Amino acid sequence: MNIKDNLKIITEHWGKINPLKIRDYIDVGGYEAIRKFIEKMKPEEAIEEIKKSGLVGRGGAGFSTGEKWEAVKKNKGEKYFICNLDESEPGTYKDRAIVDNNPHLLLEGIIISALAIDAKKAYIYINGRYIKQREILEKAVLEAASNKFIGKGIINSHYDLEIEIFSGAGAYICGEETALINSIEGKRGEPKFRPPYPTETGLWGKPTLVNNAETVSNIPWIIINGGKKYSEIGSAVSPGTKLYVLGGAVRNSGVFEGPTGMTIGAVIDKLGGGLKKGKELWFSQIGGSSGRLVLENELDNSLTFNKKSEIPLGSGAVFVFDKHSDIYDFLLSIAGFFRRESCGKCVPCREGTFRLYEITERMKDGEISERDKEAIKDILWTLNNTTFCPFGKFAAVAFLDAVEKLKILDL
Amino acid sequence: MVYMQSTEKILLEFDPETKNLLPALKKVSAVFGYVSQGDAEKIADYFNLPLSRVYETASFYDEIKLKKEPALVIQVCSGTHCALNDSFRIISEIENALKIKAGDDFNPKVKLEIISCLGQCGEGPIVIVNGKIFTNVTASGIHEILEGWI
Amino acid sequence: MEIKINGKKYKANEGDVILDVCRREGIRIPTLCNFPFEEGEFKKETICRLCLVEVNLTDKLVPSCAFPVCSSLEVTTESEKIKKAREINMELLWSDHAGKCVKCKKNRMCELQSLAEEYKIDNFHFIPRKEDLTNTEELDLLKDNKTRVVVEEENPAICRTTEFCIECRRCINVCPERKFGFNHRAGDVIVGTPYEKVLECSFCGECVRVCPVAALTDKNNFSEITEKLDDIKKIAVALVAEGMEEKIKKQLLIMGYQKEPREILKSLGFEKIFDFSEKDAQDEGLDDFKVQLSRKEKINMEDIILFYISSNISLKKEKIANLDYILSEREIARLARDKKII
Repeated sequence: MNIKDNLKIITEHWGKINPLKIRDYIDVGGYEAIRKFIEKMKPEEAIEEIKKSGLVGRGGAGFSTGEKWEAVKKNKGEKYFICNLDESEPGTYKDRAIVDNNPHLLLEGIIISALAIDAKKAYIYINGRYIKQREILEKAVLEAASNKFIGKGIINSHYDLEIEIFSGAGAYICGEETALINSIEGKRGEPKFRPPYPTETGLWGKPTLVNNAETVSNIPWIIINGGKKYSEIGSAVSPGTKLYVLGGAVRNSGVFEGPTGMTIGAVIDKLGGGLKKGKELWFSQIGGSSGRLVLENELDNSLTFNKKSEIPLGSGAVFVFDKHSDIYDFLLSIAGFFRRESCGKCVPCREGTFRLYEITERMKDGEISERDKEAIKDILWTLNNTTFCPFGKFAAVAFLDAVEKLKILDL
Repeated sequence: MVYMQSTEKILLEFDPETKNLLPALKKVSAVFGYVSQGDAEKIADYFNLPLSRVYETASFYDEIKLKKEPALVIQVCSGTHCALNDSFRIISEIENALKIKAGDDFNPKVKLEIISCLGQCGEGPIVIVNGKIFTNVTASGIHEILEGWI
Repeated sequence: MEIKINGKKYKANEGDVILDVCRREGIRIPTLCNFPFEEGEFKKETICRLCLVEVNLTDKLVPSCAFPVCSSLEVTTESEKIKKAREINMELLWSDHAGKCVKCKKNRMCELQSLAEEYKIDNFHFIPRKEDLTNTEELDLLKDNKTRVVVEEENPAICRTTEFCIECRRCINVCPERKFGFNHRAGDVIVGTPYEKVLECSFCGECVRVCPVAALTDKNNFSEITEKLDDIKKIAVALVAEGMEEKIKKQLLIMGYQKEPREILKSLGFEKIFDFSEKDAQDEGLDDFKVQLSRKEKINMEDIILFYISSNISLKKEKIANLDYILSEREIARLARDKKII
């Protein structure tokens, strides 16, 4: 592991400053990154720093943030920036923690991101259930505006930016960027066919940059300290720190910041303080409901956003299962989630998630038939290979592992 | 609290741009408990959209209700943490006690919903009865909670 | 530009999707959401996932109805993987149709049925899940695998039931008045009217024309019609609207029959058949016809059963005084099928 184990980028001031007071944030060096960006950098230079940093999207897909910025920047005319705060992956509440503890860090990141791509309007798309967090952000936006960090002529420069908070209305799939855009446009939150990509044809048909709230929260640090320094943190393939959300049989549940590239074992032991007394590890799920299941002999896998990596980091959630966990409760929870949250647009996902749930219920009741066992393999295959968007794949991940590693169909 | 609010008045809070459709639907649903057909027609008129467009958008989102909610709405979290701590047993206890089936919306008096993670995993299982949140609920403890509402 | 499909080179135009080229070249790819008839372009929904093909640019299956062509593109339209994808996805749709075809209005005219036959979908993995559940007494018997069905036959021209709906969105896209929506979410999706109200529209019939299954069908009292056609004391008269013969021919072709529409009509029991132009239909032409005919041929008005053979099913909502029935090309085909003429 890297020497900068204890470096905190996002959580540095958590619990030490009053999140409702902009003054507290400014006193610890907040909004200095905007000053540096406006006074000393051209947008192109900022984009270059972000590219150099190696920062990749923290929403799960792991796409290079700098390249995404560049793709939007190169377009002319009206553009939009959207901060994706529609966190709804089960067991994941890191973005909420960012808002709860340091909303101005997020705002500063949003402002720099928007200005760097010449957007004059930014949206924060926030999970509809985050009512308190919306209020915190509303207050933060007001305070930032009265300190001239938002609005016309930001700290007396030629930059203008308006920020609008948009609340979701309860639909997991809206965390997918094209679905999110549909939702703001007053449509069903269904993902759209790509190409065209939102970086070219996004909100209202204009080039749009959508970045996850955690990704955005890294921006001020990179602007102040430089991309090179950031690229040296954590794993080389997807550098930086990551917010890990721990749950289940670990001693410490909650949100913890650590470098990327930590092994699963290290996350559980160093951040989670090991297992609770009397608990014995069975397996863990990495990255929320759509995450892979890993057995004890796989704990040495290091967690990165590398597309080729065996165990993707996903949302950063790490849930640890005790030997005595009821596997069917777990599977029914997952199947139910995807059965409720599929947008319903394409056949394999709409029908597949419905059937998967139906069979899992029978499985839980001990009534699974040979026919069901055959069907479940077909369903998982079609979810994994033929759905319109990655949601289908997500729905299949845990089950595929449960079949292969936990042998649920042989029980 | 008697405080009259008309749909027309609510709509005037929003510019008739499609980006305000979802916020307007949410507001109407929150104020009146649901979006009635008459209200949906007013909304469609106001935003100059076909009624079918308004309805299909509204019906996509959990927070927007399209019919009057029953007097008693029970929601049980089935996120991983809650599920591993017995939420499915809690659900079947409620189903048996109230003779309902989770997910059905036929019963005019009571509705039982399975909901996804609320991010309060440390305090699960979470049960919400008419908006009131109960934490660390157990399969036996649920009956006591229900008694307060029947 | 040139692209390769199944190892052979074909010309493709800038802006084409794979399916465009395949259709031009007669390479068959099954589709359910994309409307395959020639009458105009359809929105690329990419939702039925039956047109998935393999390409050399990615390991993933891609929808041929939306995937743009580019030079050096190589497409494979048939493979084990593609076949598997089509079979599983079709089977998922088939579960609410299996075993219901014989009694179905769309029997032998149903796109899902013919695809299921082609791909030999006979594997019954899944229990039907859509059931008409409105009676509260049935609630206790509710099984988890059942979802609700919306049936509406109160409008004058169209029978709607979501029991057979495969949520392909054709009706939503074709409707000039945007009467239908893709409502609710996930496995609860219902294609229908807002608040499930009775359909009120101009009844242009386009939705019935494009529906691949029996979710949207023409409304008529079929047993009554068959009875009257067979009644030897009655004289069944058919007024055939302009262009209808062509449409009937096409409809029969779907069922694999090439027969003259006139012959079909005669075999169905129509004693008199007249051509009827759109102009004739205006100015009370339809109202008057029976009166004129009864005078001219000295037949009792009551003994004449007047049928208007037309796609204009909107007339069903107008009570035309002396007109008994309106039959579309689909209904002619259905009658012929039921009477075992074809």
